[in-house]
Parts: sequence; C-alpha cells; structure tokens
Amino acid sequence: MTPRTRLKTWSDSPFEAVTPLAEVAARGVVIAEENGESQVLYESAEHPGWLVKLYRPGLATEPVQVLDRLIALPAEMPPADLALVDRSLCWPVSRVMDGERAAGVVLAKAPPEFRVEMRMISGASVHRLMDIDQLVQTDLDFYAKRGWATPTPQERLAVARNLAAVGVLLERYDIVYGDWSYANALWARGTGEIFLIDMDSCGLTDRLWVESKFWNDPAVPSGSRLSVHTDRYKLAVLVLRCLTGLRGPEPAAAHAALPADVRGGPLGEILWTAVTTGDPSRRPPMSELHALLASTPGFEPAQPAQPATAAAPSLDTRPPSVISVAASLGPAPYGSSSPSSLGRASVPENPHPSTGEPARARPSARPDQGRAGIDAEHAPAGSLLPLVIALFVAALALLAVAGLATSLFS
Amino acid sequence: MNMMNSSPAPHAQGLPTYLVVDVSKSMRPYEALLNRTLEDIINTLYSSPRISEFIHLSILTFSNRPHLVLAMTEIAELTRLPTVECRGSTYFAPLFESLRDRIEFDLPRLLARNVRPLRPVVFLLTDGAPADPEERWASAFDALTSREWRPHPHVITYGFGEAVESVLKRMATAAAFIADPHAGTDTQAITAALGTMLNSLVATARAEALQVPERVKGFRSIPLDHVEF
Repeated sequence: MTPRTRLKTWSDSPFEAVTPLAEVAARGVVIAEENGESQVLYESAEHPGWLVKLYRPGLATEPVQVLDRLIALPAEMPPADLALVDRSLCWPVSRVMDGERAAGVVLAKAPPEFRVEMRMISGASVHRLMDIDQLVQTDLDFYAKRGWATPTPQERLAVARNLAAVGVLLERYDIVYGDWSYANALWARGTGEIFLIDMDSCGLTDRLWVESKFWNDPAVPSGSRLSVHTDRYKLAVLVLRCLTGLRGPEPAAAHAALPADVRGGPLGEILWTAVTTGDPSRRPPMSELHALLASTPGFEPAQPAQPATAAAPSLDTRPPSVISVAASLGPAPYGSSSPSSLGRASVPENPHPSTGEPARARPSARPDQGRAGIDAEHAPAGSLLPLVIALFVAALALLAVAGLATSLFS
Repeated sequence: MNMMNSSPAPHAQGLPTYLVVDVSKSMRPYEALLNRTLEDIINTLYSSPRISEFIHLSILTFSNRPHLVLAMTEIAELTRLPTVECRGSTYFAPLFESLRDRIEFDLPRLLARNVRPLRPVVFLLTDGAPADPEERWASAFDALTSREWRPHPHVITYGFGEAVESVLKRMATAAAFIADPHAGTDTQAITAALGTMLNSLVATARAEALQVPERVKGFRSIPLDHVEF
C-alpha cells in the first residue's frame, strides 16, 4: 500500500486565485456556523480536504487586495519558507466570489496528525482537533480524564519553538497575524508540530484590531491597528503559556513559573522584555526568540507560582490587593463590556434553591436534585453553615475596608 | 482578624450562565433531542477550557417545578451527564424564584474561587404559555430582574410551538425570539435555539463579555420596549 502523502496546504491547491462560489457551494461536512467572523465553514463536497469559509456579510475586513497578496505570496518564497507554509500554516489559497462580492476564502483542512481521540464525560471517545487550549494546563487530571498522556517538557518546548518559527516567517514577510490565542493553533502530540489557522485575516504591515482579553497588548490602546510589535507580545505570551501550562490573565505569572535557570537566562529575559516593556518597539524580533528556544534543552516547568510581586515592572501600577477588591465591591455597573461584580457578597442563610409548587408563597425547600449525578449543593444546610458564616464575615471585612460597611445596616 | 490576605484578590472574570429549558409534557416528543443537545453544550464546554473557564454554566429545567439539572460546578468535575424528562405543565413563578435563589447561592461561590462574576445571564427556552396566573409569574420575574437587586440577570427568551410572543417579550430583558412556524419544524427550532445559545456562549467567552445573538435561524426577533444591555 502506498503511504498517504500529506497535503501541502498551499502548494497542493487545485484552485485558481479566485474561485466562483458556485464551484465550491456544495457542502460536505459543516465544521462551524456563525463562528466569529465566519457565517459558515465547511469542507467542499467537490474538493475534499479543502475548506470553504464564507464571511458574515458586512463584516469589517482588510481590503481584498491584502487577501490577494497573501494568496499569491508563497509563490515568491524560497523552498524552505514554502515548506514551512505547506506544513504549518492554514494559508488562504483562493478568494471566493459571489458575483461581485468577495464572499470568502478557501483553505486547507488541518492534517490528520493534529487530531486525537478524546474521552468525554460519558466515557465515549470522539475524534477532535488538538488546539493549544489543551496544552495550557497544569492539572494532570485534565489529561488523565481525557485519556491523554501528560505533555512532556520536550513536547512543550517543541510546540513553542515551532510557533516561534512560524512567527519568524510571518515577520519576515511583514505579515501581521494578530490573533495568537488558545484556539488558533493546533499541535501534534509527540512531535510538537503546529498548525496555525485563520491565516486569511492577516494584515500586511498592520491589521484590524482583534479583541481577545487575555492576549491584548497592554501597551497598545484597544481598537488600534495591530502590528508586528503586538504580534511579538502575543507570541511571547503564547510561548510562556505553552512552556509552563499556566493559564490566567497575567503573563508575569507564567514567566514566574519557568524553571529558575531558564527564567534568569537569555530566554527568560527576552520573554520578560516582550511581555512587560511599555515600549512595543523594544520587543525583540521573533528570530531572537526562536533562536533561544531552538538552543534550549528540555526542562521541567516549575510549579505554578503566585503572580509576580510589585517589584516586577508592570504597566498597571495599582496595588492589586486593595483596588481590585474595592472595584469588586463598588458601584461599578454590570455591562457587556465592563468588568463587574456583586457589590456585596450576598450569602443567603439558606443557600438552596426554592422548588415550590405553583401558586404558593415562596418556599425555602431543599433543592430539587434533578437527575444530575453531580449536584453537590444539596447537602444539609447545617453542614454549610460554617462556610456561609465565613463568607459573610469575609464580605463584611472587605466592605469595611472599602468603607461601605455602614450601607448594610443603615 | 485581617481578612484581606486570607485569599488572593479575584483574578479572572466569569459569566454565570443559566440555561433554562421547559420540560413540560408538550416537550416530550423532543426529549431525546433536548438530551442530545444539552450533551453537546456540556461537551463543548468540557472540550474547550477557554470557554469553560469563563462560562460558568448551570442548567435548570422546569414544568410544575424547577429542577436543578446541572449545578454551577466546574465542568471538569462532572462524572456523568445530566438528562431531562418531560412532564407536567409550565409554571414560571417557581422557576423565577428558584433562579433568584440559585444566583444568590452561586455568585459568592464564584467569588470564593477567585472569579469576578459579570452580570448573570439566563437563556430560557419554552414552547408554551404560562400555566400560572400572570400576576404570579410577572411578580416573580420582576423580583428576579429588579434593578434594586444588584445581581439581577440578563434574560434572553426563545419560544416556539405554543409560546406566546407577548409573554416572551415580557420575560426578556436583553433579547427575545419566537420561532417562525413557516420556517421549519419544532425540532429544527429547538436545535437552532440551543445551537445559537452555544454559539453565543463561545463568542461570549472569546470577548469576555456577553454576546447576545443577533438572529436565530428560523426565529423572528421580538422587539423589546426596553433593552437593558
């Protein structure tokens, strides 16, 4: 039997630079609908192995000339760069036209090595893509429950190195990716090979802002056009998270989780500069990051550390332990875009939900367990009383600090 | 006693999310579909840490009484999938009262886990008119959504079958949708509604802010007199 040849994501494209929608309208498997920028993403029934992404009408995008330039660019690349594109990038290969309207794009389907069997809650296994979201974990149980081996330090390093290699290529051609995140890169178990998706929304020199709160460059105003400098920040954050498995809003915490010799060495320094400098132009080029990753032997990540102390440089100079607590108790409104909280930690004496019969006064019955096997909150109220009291006392103490305690008793 | 240093300040934001499904007897033909779709929603969160770390999901069903099907626990702690059974009538007042109790119970626990909760959101799917008197359920709804109660949730309603447009509108604060009977079957309506809820949750997790669906396939958006969003 002849071994199946892996599809080259750009070089094996059977499409012209522009494809009429009618040629790819027949849908095979629908991958996603109403997902982010796309109205639908499906495998072409006429061209298996190739995906058609149709954009939401009216969505702000880069000018069509940018997409056309991206599509054409690999033809100008030297063999080594083209090989990296074909192996690790879901590069746009054709612009889809619906009459005069640019309707979408054709891209290669992710190669099979980026798929794994995953054990679900029911015990059944599903075949799914392995994205960085699954790599950035420190809970070993997370992998065990899913039937996966825990990622090794060598795997983590390989993923980080391969991500940086892609970053180097993009920077070389002044391509701004912008959307480095948990969801946009796949990785292969064992080899650490990566596959970067959503390449069709790249910009040249700069691109539209993409909102992704745990990845946003703090040195750049929200809504700004993104650049290679913001990509350097985001890739550095991604590398830190891949190396350490540490999630959370603060890259400094992931940096603190690096092994001491790495943290204090040139790799740690370059990563620290990339994620903390207030001057984006000071962020080192990706080639430097890649070179250091390539020369770093395998290591064991340190245990997840507490967030960096105030001594570490930070763009946010507010003392966190007081201000953020006060903010969570203050009158800041809830809303779709602003952080919010309760205003006070309201802890009912009877924490269990009412399950009253219709047309009665509001009862305070025990919770209805329903049919889940996981409802832990229906323990008798007495066993929760110490916790309730502790939470209430804590809330009062915090209110006192914020100067709001009198409002409860006035 | 200095409580300030007893636990670290909250770090990440989270969205307390309540998925509420009518399981009155008229929904019995769709029981298997409901269970499959709820399984899909839970599995999506289970498969995507980036979603489940932001979306803190609780599932309630209701007919004569509300039932807590999935408590707002870590999805990762689930050991088996919840299932629903459909029977009874459609009483909303106990549901709204129960939701208020659940919110009061859940939010402090999120805070204790260092999650800063955003305003909760309720996605409510129903196929019928209320069996309880309007003054009863409207009073309970107003208590749930009163601005005087700080953690009052956003409510998004989806109706199909015998659902009443004016009721869906009255029970919504952010958006309301009613199935277009000419656009598809009730099965398709349920699939579309729950699918849209899931897409909304995914988009919400990405933006870290509630993303209200703009449209639902096979549904018509009901204009609200006042949108608190």
